[in-house]
Amino acid sequence: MSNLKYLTNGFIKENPTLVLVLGTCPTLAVTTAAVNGLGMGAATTFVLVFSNLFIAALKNVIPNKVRIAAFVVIIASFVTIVDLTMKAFTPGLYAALGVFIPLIVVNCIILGRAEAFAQKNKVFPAILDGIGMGIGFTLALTIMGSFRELLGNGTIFNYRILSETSKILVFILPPGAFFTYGYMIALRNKFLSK
Amino acid sequence: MAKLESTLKNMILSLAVISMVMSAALGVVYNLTKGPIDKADKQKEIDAIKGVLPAFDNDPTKEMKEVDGITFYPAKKGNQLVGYAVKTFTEKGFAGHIGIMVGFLPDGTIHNTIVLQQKETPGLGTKMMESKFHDQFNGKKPASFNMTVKKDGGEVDAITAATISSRAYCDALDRAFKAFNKEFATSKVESAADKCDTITCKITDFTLFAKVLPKFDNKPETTVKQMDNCEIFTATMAGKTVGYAIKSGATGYNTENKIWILTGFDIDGTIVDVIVLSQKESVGYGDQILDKKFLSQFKGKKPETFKLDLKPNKGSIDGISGATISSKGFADALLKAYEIFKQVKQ
Repeated sequence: MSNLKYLTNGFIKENPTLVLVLGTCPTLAVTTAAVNGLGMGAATTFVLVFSNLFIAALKNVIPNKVRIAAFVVIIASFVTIVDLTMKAFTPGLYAALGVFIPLIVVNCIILGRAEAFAQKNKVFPAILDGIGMGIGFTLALTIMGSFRELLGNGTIFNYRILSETSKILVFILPPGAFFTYGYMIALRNKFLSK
Repeated sequence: MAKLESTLKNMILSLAVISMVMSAALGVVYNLTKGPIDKADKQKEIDAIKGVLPAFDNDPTKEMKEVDGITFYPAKKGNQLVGYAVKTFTEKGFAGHIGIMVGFLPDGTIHNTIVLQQKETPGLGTKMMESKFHDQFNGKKPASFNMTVKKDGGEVDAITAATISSRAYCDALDRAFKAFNKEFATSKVESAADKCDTITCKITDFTLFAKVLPKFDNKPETTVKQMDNCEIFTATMAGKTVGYAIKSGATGYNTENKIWILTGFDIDGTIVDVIVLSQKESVGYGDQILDKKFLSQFKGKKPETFKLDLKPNKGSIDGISGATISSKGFADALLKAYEIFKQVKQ
């Protein structure tokens, strides 16, 4: 039961984007299209799971005073792995996400979960937490990306839904990101918080 | 297992080991992905080249050449040059750098353009990637096409609300053309004459006379005489006639536009040199009449002994393989010039 809780925690109750309000920079910047949100979410999830795994496993051999430095080395390594892998096998998505892949290194979700969860828990819960948080982040980004893409470009995942002429351009520009983000947080607070 | 104390030894050891293990892991991943990354980059480039040039069958990335940050990719079909793909850029985009691949046909005409990288505003500047905008450059020769936006007095239709991006696009194309011209300028004949069609061809560059005539001190362009659709220019030195430049035309492969040439004869009837003023023969085939290799065979020849016809027709001219009709058209124009010369001489 408690294991399941670790997993589902990140979906809604402690959703990293909508509740913890972590990782807002990539959230606002890459969600111009649903596929970008999904790609960014998947890349972050990968890094999150492996950094949580390693940090939880190594927590006893990392002295407290250098823990942040050690975490950053581990996180940066996994980000580089994701970066190289995406460049090699999904060059289109890599081009769309651009600089935000390397910037996962400084994504607060990852260091935040390392600090707040992984270093205090065992390996298995840490992995579940990574997966849960990753899914929550991916979900939020994909929904936000779909919404912005729909209003701003009339498509979702490049599949045309609204006509070519009914576009509200501002939604794929930076202000649209803030509008969408704000409304998503508001809606979540209205319907899902107690 | 208890947590390690934060002693100096523990901290150094712990960080060093973690860093080493992670570096090793990165090394492995780097080696694994190096191949696919190179392949993906190359594929991207080849796709872009394919998009901007007519069909080719070589690997242009093997013969690429970089000059001042601009890369040239020669595309060939068989042994014929189809065109050059030029990877150009500008820093003047609304969000800085824009990379563009431009396809030039061998005569300097833009075949097509593709945006490689850009960070322009979605929905505004990004419209430069739509064919509605970039198709306007296709088939244009930057030498005779004012590549600035209409607002700045040029001929380019800018994107509404994205003038800066449009200007940047022109800037990148202009850079590509200048570099292309510098690298591969074969001859400037194309701009030496204009309004060339089946009826007429007007010479606009009078420095050409010096190229095809013996030394002279008059202005041959003032001596023009019309005869049988040809123009005769007389060159004199100290009042004595030293030679004639004769403009003549004949139909080659392209029946819409004649091949117009300017032939210089000295007073004995020896061909001093011959220049192509205008031609619209097939790119990569008939347009080889512009090549020095072809044109130099006439230098210093006397048509009395050097018969102005192709070898298969018992003449003395080496035709261009794969472009016999264009060669024949050129030979006809030259023969016509010689006929006129004979009449003038009498």
